[in-house]
Amino acid sequence: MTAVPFPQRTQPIEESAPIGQAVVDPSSFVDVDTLVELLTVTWATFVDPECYLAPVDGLIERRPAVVAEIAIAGDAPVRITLSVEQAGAVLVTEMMLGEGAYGAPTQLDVSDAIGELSNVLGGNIKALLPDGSTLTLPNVTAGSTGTAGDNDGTAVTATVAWGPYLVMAGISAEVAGQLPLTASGAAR
Amino acid sequence: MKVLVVDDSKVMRKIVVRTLRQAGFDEVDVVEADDGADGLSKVTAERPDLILSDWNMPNLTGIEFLVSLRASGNATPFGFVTSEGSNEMRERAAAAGALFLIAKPFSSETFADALSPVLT
Repeated sequence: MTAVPFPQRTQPIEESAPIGQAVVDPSSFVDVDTLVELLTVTWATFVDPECYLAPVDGLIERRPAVVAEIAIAGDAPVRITLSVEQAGAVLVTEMMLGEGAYGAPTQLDVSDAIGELSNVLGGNIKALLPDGSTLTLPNVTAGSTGTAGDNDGTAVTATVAWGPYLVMAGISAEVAGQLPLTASGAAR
Repeated sequence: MKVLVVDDSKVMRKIVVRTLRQAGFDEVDVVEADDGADGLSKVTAERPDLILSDWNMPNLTGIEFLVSLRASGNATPFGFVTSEGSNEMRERAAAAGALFLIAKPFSSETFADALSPVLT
């Protein structure tokens, strides 16, 4: 399998806004198609080489999901959310663990797998942002599909179907005062 | 030959090891560590021929791990396997003494190209 290079940033990042407001509009550096491409390459590399992620439009049914969040701090702070429908998250984990894994994956394994996929998305989104940005560790919780960055109207979200399972990725502006995610040190 | 794989994600360690095998390095022994601090102790105990480390980890990050290793006088070949592959990160990695930085997502071909000079 040959990895497909991710797109590079082609537009300037917006200037900073006053404290308390969103400081960057994610749509200024990434669009839905790019997000679907990021998801597809990530899935093809780590989960399912033969995968087809079909974009889903319109209202999304909320279903129980594993939700990973990761933040990028810096001149253009954003928060990235990846939600994978619960049953799909278990299958993702089994496929990432691969042959040799025994028994059903634990919830810790599932959190690890979905968190790592969000980390890959975050790392590649970070490459589109100004130098000096830092990436947090992922925070994984139980949630529902449809929760990715739909809170403030400044998010770019992509919803796809991986077989019968919904997968959603969203990038939203990090707002001052939002609870910080865990950072693991200055060097990200 | 022995390779130390350092990553706080168990599933990613398995994927890295699997990709290592797919890249043709079937015979190497693999030791795993789950963060930079664990990696430092495993280097002493296991004396690997190559270290493959994630960057973004709790306790001791990959770059802190590498800097500590070199500060102690250890020159074991070191490469990053990380989700971030910006020029800024590559320059930091090279300045600290890393041989290469493989960005996720990666392919077995990428592994073969980067690791062959060390493992063959």
